[in-house]
Amino acid sequence: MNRTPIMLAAGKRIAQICAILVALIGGVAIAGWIYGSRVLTSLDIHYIPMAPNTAIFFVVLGISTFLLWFPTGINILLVRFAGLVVVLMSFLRVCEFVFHFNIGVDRWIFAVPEAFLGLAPIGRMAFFTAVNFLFVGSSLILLSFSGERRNLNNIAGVNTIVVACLGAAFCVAYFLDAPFFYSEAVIPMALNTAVGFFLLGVALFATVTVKDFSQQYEAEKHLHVSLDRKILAAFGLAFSAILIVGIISYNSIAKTLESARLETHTHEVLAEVSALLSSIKDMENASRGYIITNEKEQLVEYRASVLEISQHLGRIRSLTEDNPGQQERIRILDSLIQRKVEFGNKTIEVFEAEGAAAAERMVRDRISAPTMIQLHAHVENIERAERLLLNGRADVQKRSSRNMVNIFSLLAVLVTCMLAATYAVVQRDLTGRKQAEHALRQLNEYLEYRIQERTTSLLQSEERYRHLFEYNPLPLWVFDTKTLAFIEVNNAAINHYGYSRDEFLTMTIKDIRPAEEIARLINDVAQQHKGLDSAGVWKHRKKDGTVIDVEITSHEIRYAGRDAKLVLANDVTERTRAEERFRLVVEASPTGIVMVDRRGNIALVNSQLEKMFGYSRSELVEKSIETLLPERHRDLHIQNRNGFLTNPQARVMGVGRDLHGLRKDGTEFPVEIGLSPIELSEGTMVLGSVVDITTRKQAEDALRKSENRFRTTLDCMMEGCQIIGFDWRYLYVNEVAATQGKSTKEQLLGRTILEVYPGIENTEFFASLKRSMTDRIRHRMVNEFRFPDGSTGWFQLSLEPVPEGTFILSEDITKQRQMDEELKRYRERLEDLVKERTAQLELANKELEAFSYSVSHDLRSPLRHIDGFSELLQKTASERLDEKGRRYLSIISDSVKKMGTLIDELLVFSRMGRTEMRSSHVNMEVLVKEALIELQNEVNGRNITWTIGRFPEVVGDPSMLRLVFVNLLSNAIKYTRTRTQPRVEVGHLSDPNEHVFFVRDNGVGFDERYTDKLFGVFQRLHADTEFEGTGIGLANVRRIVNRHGGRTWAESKIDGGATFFFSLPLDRTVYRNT
Amino acid sequence: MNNIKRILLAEDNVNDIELTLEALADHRLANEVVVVHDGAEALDYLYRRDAFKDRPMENPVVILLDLKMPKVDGLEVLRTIKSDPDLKRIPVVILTSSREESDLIRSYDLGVNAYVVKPVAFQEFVEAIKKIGAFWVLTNEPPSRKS
Repeated sequence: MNRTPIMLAAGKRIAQICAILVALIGGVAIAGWIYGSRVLTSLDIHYIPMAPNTAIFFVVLGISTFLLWFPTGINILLVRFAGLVVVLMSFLRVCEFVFHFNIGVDRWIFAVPEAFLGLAPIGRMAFFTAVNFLFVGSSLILLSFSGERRNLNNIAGVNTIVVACLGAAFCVAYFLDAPFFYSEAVIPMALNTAVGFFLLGVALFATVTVKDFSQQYEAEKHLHVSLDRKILAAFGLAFSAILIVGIISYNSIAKTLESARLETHTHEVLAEVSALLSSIKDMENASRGYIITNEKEQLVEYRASVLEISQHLGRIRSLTEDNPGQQERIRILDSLIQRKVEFGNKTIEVFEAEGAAAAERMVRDRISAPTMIQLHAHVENIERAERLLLNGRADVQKRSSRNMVNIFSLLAVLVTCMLAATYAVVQRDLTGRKQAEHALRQLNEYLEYRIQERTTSLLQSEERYRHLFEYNPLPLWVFDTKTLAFIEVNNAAINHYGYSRDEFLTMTIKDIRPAEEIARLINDVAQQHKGLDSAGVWKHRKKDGTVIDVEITSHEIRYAGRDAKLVLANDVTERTRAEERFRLVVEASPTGIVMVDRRGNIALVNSQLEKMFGYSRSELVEKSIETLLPERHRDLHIQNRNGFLTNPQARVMGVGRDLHGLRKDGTEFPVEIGLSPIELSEGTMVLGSVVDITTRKQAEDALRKSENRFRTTLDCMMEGCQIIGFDWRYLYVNEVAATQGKSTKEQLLGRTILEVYPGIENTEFFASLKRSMTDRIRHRMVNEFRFPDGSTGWFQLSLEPVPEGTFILSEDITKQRQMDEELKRYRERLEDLVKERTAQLELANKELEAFSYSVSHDLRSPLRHIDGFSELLQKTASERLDEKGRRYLSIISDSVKKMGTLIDELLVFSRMGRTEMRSSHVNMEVLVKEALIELQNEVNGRNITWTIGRFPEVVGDPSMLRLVFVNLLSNAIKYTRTRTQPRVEVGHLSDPNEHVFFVRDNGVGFDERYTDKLFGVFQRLHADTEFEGTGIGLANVRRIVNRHGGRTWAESKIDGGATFFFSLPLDRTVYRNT
Repeated sequence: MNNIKRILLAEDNVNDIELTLEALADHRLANEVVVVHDGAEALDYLYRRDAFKDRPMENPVVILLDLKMPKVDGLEVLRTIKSDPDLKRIPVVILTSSREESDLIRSYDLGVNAYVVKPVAFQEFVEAIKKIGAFWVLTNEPPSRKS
């Protein structure tokens, strides 16, 4: 029988009952507080009452614990809220103790009823009560979360143990009557509070345990207390024990300190009492001494003693304030002392008023004054009471010490027992575990051994099958039908597809398909063929990209726990390719192919034959071959066919005859037919290949015609045409060629050139011909040919390789050559002539140069001398000469200067003819501007209107051309001198043949009749007195322009201005350098 | 040593010599002019030969050289001077009637220091000679003798 459910039910019952009891305890206390019943609040009126908020907490916590058993959403929320409030408030209370402040947290809820006034402490929550509430509150919160976190449960469990233990400890303390335990220095815990905590701890612990175990039980149908839980429980108990020991130590130390304080206090009281007694004696002595001696000092002492007495009394009263018995005695003592003092005072009054005798009388009579003996007795009373108290306190101290030792011993024993029990439990648990582990290990070892055994046998069998798979000559693989991934491949597959095993195992079967096959593959896989499946021919792609045809057979299997397929792939690429190739060869053959069986029936035709005859394949198959022949040949054909079969040999059909085919539309066409017998399994067949030779026939005709045309053309050509064969034989000669060769066509044709022209093999012509025959490249040459009769002729030859040999085109250039040579001779003579002339010219030039040099040097020297000496003469002999003589000298000087200018300009002119020209591209606009700048002096500030046009760039010597402009512009400036509004225009005329430039002025002009003279050296049309000048400027212009290959001319009217033109050739780049 | 700055004038024409000296005299330079009448004589003077064996050691401060001279012409004299390490630093001024381009080019190619065409007009001639004298004798700084 399993007792667990019963135990769990009992636990639940205990928890619930305890919870209700706690709530009841709390409720009773509250009622006590409300109705002012101390019994209700503290069970016994000797004990302190339960604090009112403690009572409320108990009610709340009891109900909460009960509610834990009905964990609806609201209940759990309520529990958490209650727990939170309790934790917060109790925490504050603990803080009050620890940090010594007082906000009266525990009095917020309940005011203290009057019945309790005077009781100290009045309904304050004890420190340990607050601590316990902290534990309980946190446990409640943790439990409300339990089921979610197991470790929370564990903490709550420990908490509840602590609470129950503390509750129990406080109860025990009450029963042992050890108030030092349940009460501490300030506020003790009430008995009913202790009971409440015990019950609450039990209730919560039961709740934790039962809930936890019932979960475990439901899950495992088995109940055991785990080791960690036991340790936790032990920890809880140990913690409680330590806490209890802690409380006891704390309390006993507090008590000891209190006793020590009280003892000191008692001793103080005793000392004070004896001091009082001596003061009284002093007072009596002093009063008596004064009366006897009448010394004032005695009176002062008396008064001091009275004061001392009252001081001592006050001190004693305050020291024994807490002792009502003593107070009573002190009051009596006080009155006695009062009377004594009054008596003393009276005595002194009497002494001073009536004299010593009266006073002595009074002292003797002692009217209504207590005696010293009375006072003594009373003081002793007080002393005795005080000593009694001291003894009593020492007793209590002793007892409590004894009790403490007892309780310490008890707790030590308890803790030891607990530890021993814990150790035993843990040890038992560990031993049990070790045994179980050992058994388990043994079992494992056995199982491993069994597995080893099984594995070995499995491996052996697997090895056999693996061999079948691995070394299968055909590619095999297994793939997962879900993921299509390869699971296993054999060596043949690896070799055939080129992927390594590792590569295969990362691929899917899609990866070995060409892209266009993947759709078909996925479709096929989706169809889920059961068992063996011949999937037909597929295209696969190898790693190197080649696509192969494979015949696939597959079988569904379970492999390595997966749905898979075993696939066998048979490469049929070669087979299908061979078939395909054969079919294509037949189909694509440019000749018509027909296969005929023994009976003459057509077995096979190709598309070319269909096209040729205009029949479709189906119309021909199984028909007689004679269908394709014209009527007239059929009989003969049947005979020939039978003849062929008796001697089957490959041959061309119908040699020497024109064969014709008959189309479906009845037309005939020329054919050529080749026949070959073939041996097939179904017997001998004849394979005929038919070629339509219509176009060939036409081409042959056309060729013939064209050949004739070319032959006629060649015959009629002006040039000689001949074709020499590779054997040096004349194959063709036209009339012209025969005539050139001083022969006739008949003599030449058919003979070799070696025969016709012996010795030709040594000529340059023959060498070229030979080259042309071998290298087949066109050669051209001009050759002098020596005829057998000794005469020679020049020929321009073109040797053209043609298929038959070499075609020679020859032109007789003998006459032309003769003319060329004559021309050449003439030209050479002419060149000689030119050279001769040039030499003459050069010589003349040299002479001229020498002349001009001597002019420049030798003519100038005398001039200079004339000038120099005439000058010197003027200087030295001027006074001696008359006016006339001086004028002569001046004329000499002017003439000399003019001569100098003439010589200089003449030199320039001569140099113009001699100096070398330096041609370059010349910007005429720039040139004109430069010339104008040069002439600024001659303009001499005159207001001339210049019109300068735009000019093209020309080729020429820039410095010479500048001189041209300088001369022309200088003239223009000079001859407009007499004009009031001189105008000069420089321009360019467009002319298709040459550049024409002009300089026009509105000057004095000249008579056009003398134009020719203008450009001559030293030619002038004006008197020197009119317009000075040397007559060389325009001669220079002409000379320069002429050297540039241009012309000069002028237009003018007298007084009507003049225009000077010069032209330069277009695009002239090279000038003669004369 | 005679420290007078001497001018060597090589000129065959006596009229030219006279006019030149006249022009130099205007500048008070005439008494420092040594006149030679052809190229050979000029070279004799420079190399202290024959008639000029005892001439002072000092080289002329400038040589005025006519081109067209008997025996050895001016260009030849120029070539000899400019190719001799001891003489080449003497400034040479060609003084000639020739304005021929070829003469100019050859003279400059041989390293002439100046080329002056004798003007026909006497006044201009005098000016030219004065300038030459003034420049080469007074203004120009020759290298120190020993260097």
